[in-house]
Amino acid sequence: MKNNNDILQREEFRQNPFTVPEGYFASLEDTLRDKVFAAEKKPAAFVGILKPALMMACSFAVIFGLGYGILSMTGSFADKTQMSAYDEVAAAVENFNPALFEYLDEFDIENYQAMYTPSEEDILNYFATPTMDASLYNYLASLE
Amino acid sequence: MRGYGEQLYWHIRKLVANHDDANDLLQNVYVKAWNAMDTFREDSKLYTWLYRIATNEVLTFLNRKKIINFLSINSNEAAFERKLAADENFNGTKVQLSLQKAVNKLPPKQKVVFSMRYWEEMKYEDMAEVLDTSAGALKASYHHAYQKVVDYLKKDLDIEN
Repeated sequence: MKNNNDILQREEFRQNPFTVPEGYFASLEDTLRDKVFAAEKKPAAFVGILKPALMMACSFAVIFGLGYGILSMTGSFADKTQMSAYDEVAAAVENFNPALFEYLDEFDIENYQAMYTPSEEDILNYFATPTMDASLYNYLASLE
Repeated sequence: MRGYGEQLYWHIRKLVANHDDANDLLQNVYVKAWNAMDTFREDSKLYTWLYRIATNEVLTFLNRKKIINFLSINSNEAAFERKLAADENFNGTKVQLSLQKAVNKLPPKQKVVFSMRYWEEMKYEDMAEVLDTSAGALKASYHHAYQKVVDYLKKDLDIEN
């Protein structure tokens, strides 16, 4: 710090250019003591205790809001006019002819099975018909 | 902690320049020191401990101010000069105002090192204890800061080499 740098060795630079309001230092220690005691006695505010939780809740709300907004704008959410598969089935069922429901209500499955279950004779007649494929007939004959 | 208020005030004031800022920071220092009294170790001097808290408080303040100034569209240097020139608690001459502007341009840590060494004339060993840095690093930092201040003053005060 010599030669050209001697400028900072001037006494003027080292002098304190700052002042304080009148009586400031006379009351400083009391002011500091009062400040410390006030801070010590001051109970933590309820909001202050909840602050971290509130901050977290707000963060989640903001993230959810942003996400919802972006998805809504980009049309990623299902259009309200566009039905889900479940809605489509529900609507189709509602549009069925009521007569179908009445028929299904009265439908007797046991009677249906009895009516349409072929008898042994029916089966034999079926296999005996000449329309039967010859290769199948030969195969069945070979099983005996 | 009684009896250290005035010394700590001047330590802070020389770094932040403004009385109101210095007063607020000093009060914060006392509140923090009081709340952290349990962590104070007897092997360290109370004054050094308080000095360290005050310096950290000032550094936080200066760094925050630096960010605000960075985001501001106004010139930091011009705003600082206007504020200081209008401050009724600043009675400096033109060259003293120039020195304040030069120091204000230093990065916060260099500003602290310069102030402690140049105005407070602290030993590097004592500074090292407060700033938790080696004396060698502080010497280098002070040298850089000193040179920057000299360069600024020569330019601002139009002094020939």
